[in-house]
Amino acid sequence: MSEQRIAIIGRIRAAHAARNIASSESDVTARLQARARNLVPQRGQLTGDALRAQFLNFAVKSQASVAVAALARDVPAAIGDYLMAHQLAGPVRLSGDGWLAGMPWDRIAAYQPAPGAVMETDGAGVSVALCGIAETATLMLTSGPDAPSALNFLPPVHFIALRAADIVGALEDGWARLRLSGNGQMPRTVNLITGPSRTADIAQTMYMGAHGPKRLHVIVVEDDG
Amino acid sequence: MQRRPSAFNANAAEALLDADLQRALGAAEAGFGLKRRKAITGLPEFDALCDQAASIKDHVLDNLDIYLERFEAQVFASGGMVHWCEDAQAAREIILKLCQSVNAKMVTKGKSMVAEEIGLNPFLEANNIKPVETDLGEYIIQLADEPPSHIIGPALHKTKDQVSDLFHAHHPALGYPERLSEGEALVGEARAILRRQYLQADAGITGANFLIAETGSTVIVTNEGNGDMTQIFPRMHIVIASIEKIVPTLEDAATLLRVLARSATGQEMSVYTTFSTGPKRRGDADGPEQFHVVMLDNGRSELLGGNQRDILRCIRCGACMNNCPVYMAAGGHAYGATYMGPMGSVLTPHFSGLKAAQALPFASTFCGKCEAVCPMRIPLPRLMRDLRAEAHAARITPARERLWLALWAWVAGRPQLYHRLSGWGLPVLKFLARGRGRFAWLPLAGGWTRTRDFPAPPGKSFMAQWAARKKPGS
Amino acid sequence: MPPANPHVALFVTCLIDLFRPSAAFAAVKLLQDAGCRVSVPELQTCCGQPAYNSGDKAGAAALAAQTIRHLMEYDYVVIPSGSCAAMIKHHYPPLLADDAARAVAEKTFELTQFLHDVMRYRPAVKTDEKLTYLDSCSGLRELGIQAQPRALLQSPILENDDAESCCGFGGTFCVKYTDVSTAIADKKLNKFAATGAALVTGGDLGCLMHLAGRAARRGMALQFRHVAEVLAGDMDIPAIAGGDK
Repeated sequence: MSEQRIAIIGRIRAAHAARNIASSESDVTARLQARARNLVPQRGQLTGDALRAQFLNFAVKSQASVAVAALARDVPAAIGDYLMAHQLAGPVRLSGDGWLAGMPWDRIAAYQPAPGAVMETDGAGVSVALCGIAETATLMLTSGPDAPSALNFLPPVHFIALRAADIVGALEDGWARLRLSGNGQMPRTVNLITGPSRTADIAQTMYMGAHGPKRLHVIVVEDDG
Repeated sequence: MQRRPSAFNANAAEALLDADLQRALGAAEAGFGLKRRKAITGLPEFDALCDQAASIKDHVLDNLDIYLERFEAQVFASGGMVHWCEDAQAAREIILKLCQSVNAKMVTKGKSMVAEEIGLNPFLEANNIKPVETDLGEYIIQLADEPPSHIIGPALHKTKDQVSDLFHAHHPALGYPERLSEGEALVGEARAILRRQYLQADAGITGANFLIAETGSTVIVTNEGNGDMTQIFPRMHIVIASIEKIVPTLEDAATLLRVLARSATGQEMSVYTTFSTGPKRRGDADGPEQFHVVMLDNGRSELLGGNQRDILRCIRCGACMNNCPVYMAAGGHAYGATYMGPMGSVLTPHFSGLKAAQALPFASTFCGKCEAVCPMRIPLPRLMRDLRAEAHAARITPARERLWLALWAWVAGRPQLYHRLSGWGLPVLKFLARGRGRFAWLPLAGGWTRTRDFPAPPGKSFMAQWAARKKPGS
Repeated sequence: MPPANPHVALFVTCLIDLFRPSAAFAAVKLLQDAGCRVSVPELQTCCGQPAYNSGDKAGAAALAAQTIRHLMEYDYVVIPSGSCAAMIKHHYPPLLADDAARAVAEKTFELTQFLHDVMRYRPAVKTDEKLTYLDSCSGLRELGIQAQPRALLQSPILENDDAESCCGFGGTFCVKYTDVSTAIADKKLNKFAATGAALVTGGDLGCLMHLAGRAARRGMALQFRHVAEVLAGDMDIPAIAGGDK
């Protein structure tokens, strides 16, 4: 134990003593194990069509754009349509997610879609969200062997594919999904993304694409079969 | 230029003459206020969430020693390290050591007020390590060699033209010779320049909005994405955070996140909220090889036991300064300190000593708006008033002010004398006013009459007139 | 039901006593009209707020104890000032920590709050001046006074979009930090002027004197009066800083 650590903990305990309180190991353990939800706002408790409608609505409010694809195999075309409509170029860098791997990327071959290391020259990135949180249209993305975090930040255009069934109500529902995923350990990085990158640091005017993506396009897939 | 907190009055007077600054503050006052109100109106549960957020932090503070130990254990379990630092010097030194351990020549930095608090950048520079600020606001003021003027908008005081000048002074050497005037182009140029830095940096330093005890995660909240690129690409991620940033669980973080962005920028959620847990895992596609949390005390453990403890609930949203009439007149630099506005006026005396910073707790009209908007229910006026009391008791407030106060209290404590004196003084004032109703100048009242006329009193006090009515014979 | 003929102590406040007796006379008139028996305790001076907010807790406590002594025997204590009322109501109890302070705090009210909420009073007079209202911060945020004066005035108030912001007075702040105080006053005055109002009224004389003095120095046409005078219809007295008619 470092001397500094001992000194800091000692001063904290002295402060507790000065107020006639004692910290409680059992209180802390109980709280950490219970992971109890605090107040969850009404808007985080929607279900069904209302849940989905709110997610789509708030996504647009966050300056993202949204497309709905009926099937997973429609995702590449949806991405191609977006790139075409906005006159954007590839290459399109795919995450290594198995869901993406099963999609017919050859349909947009001109945009050179491929998984692999994220490059500065990539025109767009495609990631898969663990879930979408309807209370603020926030997308939860986790890092892993198939999911480089750089994909969420380096390319100027960011596509996120999201299964409609993975739209949840509140941030707390997102934590529940996170804890079920993987081996129960936190991934190195959990990104909560709400809209594209922006800054108001020059004269309090909003500019998009400060460092991260200038555009965020979410593709909600109705049926992932 | 380094301003001092003791010169608040002079600093503020200078700021009031700066037309660019006043324009920027005017826009900030209107913008921040409106956006926050809109965001809060959109969430009916906001007040209840604030109550819960405050009680989460109170619970943490009551058990801080244990939560810090649990957090440390979780960081360790996920492959990271925690470095405990009693003061700024210890924190600077460990960060230097960590940077040197990877032979760092250049490090990127996300926005961190704690890094400002410990004076990290000049220290790294003095040791031949180049820190590059990547938050656009921080980048701008780093070029200008100025401290932040706002905790969430560090370059709030800069106009677009001033940014254009700064870029044109510094960017030609980097291969960008053209002078830019449009905001979008300025943002684009900084983006291009900083991109290279992220990829070349030997270490990335970020702050933390929260430290999650349950998971050992550090959390940053940004809109630009710079904090993420600062930690994804270099080999080492160093997090500098102060001990009161602990939050028990992810659920508790959810509650705090709901009040943070709404109070700060009026967003429902900031664009990027990132939870970082340990270094990259085996097989991970990217991420840092090393993860270090530098945990700073710097006097906070002493605040914990005293009457200023509530300030430790602060989550640095900036709502208190955004709604402070004094901040919005004087600007952040007038405070001459890392932290400004009401929260800064409470914190600075603890960092710089009350003697050096006693002017700051007095730099409030006690209008109470800071307390009303604080999502963490911090009684800022009460904390400032207690600091005033401490300064008064220590006799470090200006002697002239103490003399006037003592004189007033002495006279007001002797009602007969008080009313006799008003009976003598008021007719004199009435005579001097000569029916004009006001004075442009009064002896000993220059603090008032320098900018304001002083309303002239009638010749008799109310109490005297009332007594005369009651007893017509006397 | 409002209390019948309650015995009310008027705590005049030092500023009104010395600089604006007409506001106190108006307050007496209003309280009597509302059905109160009004007394003015003779030995009252200052509530101690300047000392309290300047850090002199001992000096403030001495004045608080003195003030309490003169106010104990009445049914209510009424004060034509939000900040002095808040001082007695919210700050005396922790400062003195005794039952007498708590008892007096309990029965202390700001004037418009008392007239409207306790006495359910509606004045007979109505002004036809173009009116705007200065919500003083202590009254607004510590006592929740906002609707009461507006209801009592019964006239349309020309509101601005920033009515809840401070005027920059702040007690001793206004002379300690003159420049900042004045800059805040200017913002407030510009907002008032933009409403097209001719008369600014409010419940705190300190704020009114500060703004009236600044407006006079700037040569603005705005007039300033304590809300008690407006409610009592005492409009023939010169406005604050206004001079003889």
